[in-house]
Amino acid sequence: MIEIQGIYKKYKKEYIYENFSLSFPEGQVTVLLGPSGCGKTTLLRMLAGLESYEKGTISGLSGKRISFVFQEDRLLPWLTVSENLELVLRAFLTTDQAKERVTQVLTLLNIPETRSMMPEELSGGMQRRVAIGRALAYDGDIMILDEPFKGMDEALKNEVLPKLAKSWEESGKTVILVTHDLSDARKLSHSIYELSGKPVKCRIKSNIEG
Amino acid sequence: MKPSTILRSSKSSGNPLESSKGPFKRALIVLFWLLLWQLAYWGVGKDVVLPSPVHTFQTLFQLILTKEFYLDVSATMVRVILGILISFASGLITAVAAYLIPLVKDILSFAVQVLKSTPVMAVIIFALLWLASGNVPIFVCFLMCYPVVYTNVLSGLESLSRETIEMSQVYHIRHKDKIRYIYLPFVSPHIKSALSLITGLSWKTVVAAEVLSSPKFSMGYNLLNAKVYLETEALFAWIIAIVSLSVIFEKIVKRLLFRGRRRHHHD
Repeated sequence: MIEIQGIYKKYKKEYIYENFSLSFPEGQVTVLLGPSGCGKTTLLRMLAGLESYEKGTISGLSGKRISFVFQEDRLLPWLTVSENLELVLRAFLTTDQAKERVTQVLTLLNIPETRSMMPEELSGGMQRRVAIGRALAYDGDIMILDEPFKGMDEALKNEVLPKLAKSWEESGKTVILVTHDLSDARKLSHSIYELSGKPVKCRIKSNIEG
Repeated sequence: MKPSTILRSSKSSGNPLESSKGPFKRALIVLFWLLLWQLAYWGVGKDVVLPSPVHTFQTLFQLILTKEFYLDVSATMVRVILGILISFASGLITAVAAYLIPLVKDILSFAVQVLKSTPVMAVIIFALLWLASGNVPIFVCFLMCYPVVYTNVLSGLESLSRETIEMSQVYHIRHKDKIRYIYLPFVSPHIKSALSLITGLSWKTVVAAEVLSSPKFSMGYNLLNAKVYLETEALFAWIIAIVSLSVIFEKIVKRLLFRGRRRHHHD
């Protein structure tokens, strides 16, 4: 269980999180909904250790590897798709194992032909899939996704979404996902929380058994 | 600008006009300037003020046939190469240190700013007080070229986005992989641009420092001698030799640097 307890986080002299607590059950998909700029991304960044906070604790993350799909694709434009994915695997896989993992992921996402392409040669939707592919290939214990379907058209999203849901169900991964789309949230999650206000308040939106 | 864009633009060797120039057109341009020189010579009518192109090239060929010419050229060339190597290595190392340690950046920024606005002559005069004449040109070259390397490399490193750095942190990319696959490809266009800039600058500063410090073997000392003894043909001949060598040197360095788009494959 990942637990956020009594977090205080300031942004430009104003508290956006004040004594905020929330927990994410292990092996479940938790979706965070909320209006733009309410602090969802900040929460994900605090979980990933990219953002500091004034007070409080976040537990259940020590020794865990995190796969993060950022709001922006953050692909390296001077590396091919396959090199972008292999780069995050080099620390713990051999070159052959990394190549095999990349092939599996690109095939799963239905973009094996992009392997030796440069990111700039891909459409926005394809770049997004590559960014998701990097997170899947890394295979972290926890998967954090910030608006993973941003820029994808409905058809593409409907193609990717069930594959992700299936992969998470099979692996029993802890997933924390931020989205604007309630229907995406309902399709994917065990729990949905709605964040709003300043400082952020959290309320459970619905509970759907996966 | 993204590094890939810079690398790609560098593939076309910079000047778009250059590729359109055929050897015939180039010869015509040279001929035009020689003709203008000859006309000016006829107009002035005094060899001591402006020598004729014919006399100048005769003097140059005579120079080329002497052993001393090669000793002077190699001494200057060694100083240029040493100046480039020292300024490049120190510029690169200190730029990385400044990128990693803010205090180093604060300390060096002041020094670099001072160096950038100091006239070359002032540096040469100071160096003459401290160093042996043969080392003055190397030192002056270092002081003039170092800020160019430092500024270029540091600005390259600083333009690497926070997003990319965060991505590498989250995915625990190893330091050696970060250097090889993130920092080096990103900063290499800036390094190349710095090297390209200092190859031209190094010749100018080394020869200027040689004129004032007068080391035994040097091209600059010959410029000074030609001026003192009013040997204007020799002065022009040495200038042509210096400019030609500097251009050839720059072209070789640029060709080595911009051999087209180089990508880091680990396939």
